[in-house]
Amino acid sequence: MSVTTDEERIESIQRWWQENGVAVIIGLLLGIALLVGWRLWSGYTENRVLQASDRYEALRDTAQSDPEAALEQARSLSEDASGTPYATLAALEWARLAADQGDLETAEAQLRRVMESAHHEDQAQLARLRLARVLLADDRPEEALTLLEAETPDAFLALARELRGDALLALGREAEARTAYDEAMMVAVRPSDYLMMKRDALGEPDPAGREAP
Amino acid sequence: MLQKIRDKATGWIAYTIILLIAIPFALWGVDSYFGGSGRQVVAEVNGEPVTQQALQREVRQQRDRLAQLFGGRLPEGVLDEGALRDQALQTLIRRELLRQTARERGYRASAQAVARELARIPVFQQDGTFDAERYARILEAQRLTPQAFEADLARGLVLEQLESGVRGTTPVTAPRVHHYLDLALQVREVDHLHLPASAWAPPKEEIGEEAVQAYYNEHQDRFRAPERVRLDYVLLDPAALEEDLSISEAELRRQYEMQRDRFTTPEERRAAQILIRVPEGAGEDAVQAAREAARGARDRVLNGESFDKVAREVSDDRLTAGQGGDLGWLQRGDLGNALDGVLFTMAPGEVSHPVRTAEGFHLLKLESVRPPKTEPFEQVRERLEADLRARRAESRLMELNERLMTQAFEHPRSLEPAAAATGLEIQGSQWITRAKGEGIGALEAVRKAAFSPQVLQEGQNSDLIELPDGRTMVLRVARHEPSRPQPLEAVEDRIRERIRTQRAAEGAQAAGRDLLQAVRAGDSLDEAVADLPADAAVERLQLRRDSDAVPARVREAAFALDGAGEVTGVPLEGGDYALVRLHAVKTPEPDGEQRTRAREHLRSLYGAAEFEAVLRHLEDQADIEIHRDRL
Repeated sequence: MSVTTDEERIESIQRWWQENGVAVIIGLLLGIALLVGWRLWSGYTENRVLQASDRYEALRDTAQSDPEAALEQARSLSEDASGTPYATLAALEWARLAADQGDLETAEAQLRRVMESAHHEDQAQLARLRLARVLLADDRPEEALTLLEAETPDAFLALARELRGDALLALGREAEARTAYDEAMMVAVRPSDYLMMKRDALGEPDPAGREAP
Repeated sequence: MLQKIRDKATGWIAYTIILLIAIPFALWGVDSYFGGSGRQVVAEVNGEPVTQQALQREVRQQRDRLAQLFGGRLPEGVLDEGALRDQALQTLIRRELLRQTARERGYRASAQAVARELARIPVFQQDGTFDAERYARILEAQRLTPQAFEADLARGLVLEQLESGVRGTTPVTAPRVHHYLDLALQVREVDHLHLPASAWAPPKEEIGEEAVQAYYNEHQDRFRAPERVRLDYVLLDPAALEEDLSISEAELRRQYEMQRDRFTTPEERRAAQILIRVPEGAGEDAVQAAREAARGARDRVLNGESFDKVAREVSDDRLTAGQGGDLGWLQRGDLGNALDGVLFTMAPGEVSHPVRTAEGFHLLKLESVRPPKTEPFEQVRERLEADLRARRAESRLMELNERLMTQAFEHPRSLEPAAAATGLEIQGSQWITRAKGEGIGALEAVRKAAFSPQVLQEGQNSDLIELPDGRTMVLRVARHEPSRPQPLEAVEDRIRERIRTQRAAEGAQAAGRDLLQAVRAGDSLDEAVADLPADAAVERLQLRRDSDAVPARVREAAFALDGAGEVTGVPLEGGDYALVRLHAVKTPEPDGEQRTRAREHLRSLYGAAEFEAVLRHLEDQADIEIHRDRL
């Protein structure tokens, strides 16, 4: 072990400081700047999310009382709130309001956007199924059918099969529609009255194959 | 020694040891080290626990909700506990999943939104507006902090956003509403023919001995008399017990003396007070000042001013000052020790010196005294006797039950010892089957015990059975008759009736099918009907989806018919047969109200189905572990 005096120690510290002082100070400043920056950033994003949340609540209220004003609110929210979960909700609401008011073009555009850009599989699936409904309303069963060809997770199968039935029915392919409805009834938790009526309207499958194409 | 360890415990050995100790804590946490709460977790959703406690609360809530449907009380047997439990568990798992999803996806509720929600809750409102004081009070009573409650509200809001973001945003297009109404409002004009089986029933005499015999041989197992038992039992009836007790006058007197307090209204004194408040933690000076103020007030009263007036002017007791300090009638204990000691030693009209309590200095004035009053023995005699009788009977009952149980258990092959020990008679029952009986056999608990393996197969006494009305009993099987075939004579009539019904049904079905074929081949319906034995007439009906003019199966068949002229046959319950032919399909034009309702119906339909799909999808994606053994 070497013996060092206090003077030597002080000297060595001074020397070290002269060599590294600037780096240390820069490092410290950088660290502080990063910290402050991070706080500011997270405060900003937090604020954005909370604002978007409030605006979504307001949108829900307006949608009840004044659908046309709500349409405008949904549009601006879906644009302003990008990056928050409320952008997607607003887009879905926008599509809903448009479709209800007969503007299928807007509804289609929004649903397509959600379907293609949603971060979450469930939202993408919802958008796909709703888009298929909008296409059917727009008299484009072929396109709806193509859309429904894509692979569907089990949870959405009942809805997808029923829509497939609707599309086939619209194309006049009754036997296939019946099969699709039957499949939908098999996987549905609780088949709706609508589904059952559609299925009933197609009658029993004919064993003689009279109806088969 | 310690020093040595310290010296050596540097370097890698020490770190290795520390690491080894740290690993279990890192992996399983301190919880598992202390035995943890692992036992109460019934399921894990992505690693987050669902506790037994939460499950029980949910089961209770769902049961209450069900009970409400039945008007407050659940009839027995309606509830499948297992299914209820599974459903409650699913609810909890889904709620937890939604909570996690909302958190991961960054859903938030702002403070303003929470405040708005809070303001909407009726219990926190006073005259229709939110009342902060009321809010604080109610939370305190529930032992909740505002922070926790508001965090809960925020969570609820966020879950609602997630849910309404699916349910509320489902589009319903005009063509769809139209299509739905086309189907739902459809009216089908049909020709309907009902063939009652009874019209084909052969006369009784036509069913010969051979047919009956054949049926009997073929269906032996249906004509067996059920297994039955006769029971011996010892029954303990609390009501009878109470009547048998005799209670002497002397005993009642003694009880009266012992319970004198119960029949005495204690002394009451009416007093008024002046309070000079001393704040908590006040300095010596302040205390002294308050004492002086109290003395001053006393002097004013002694010098002739009325207590009432002085109290109104100087008393700090807000509740009583306005009434001249009046405290009303007081019993010992109402005011606390210090004041009691003064109040209950004063003479009427007297004014006390200042008395120090935690609140400050009190001046008391005694207005008047109601001496204690005791109800005389004669007045309470009946009450006393009833109480005593009930108490005696209860302890006697416990004793007898105990003996009954022990003796029946220790001598499992006979009821004699149990009867002897309790002084009760052994009684005998009528024949009882698994499904029914008379007398005690009418009680399900009795039948269940009688046919339990212990009693029936091993021939032992039953356990002590508690009947719904409070009686208790022990039973054993005295005679047992296994299930046995019944002789033909005993069941002949029943068989004949069955054959008749069967043939009638066959007749109706066959006739119906022939008819169906004929009509399909091109015969007119009216012509085909002419030869039928029944006075069956074809009726033309307008069927709607909700018509109940025909059985549900006929209606469904009618709506499944494909085009005008098509006909189908429907076998019905009870052997009847129906024929429906579609005449025309009409679709009435819906009105605005119907359109709106259909739109809402479809929205809720698709909303519910889509939300269910989303939930199922989340479930499929999640790591859900259910601990069945802990349910």
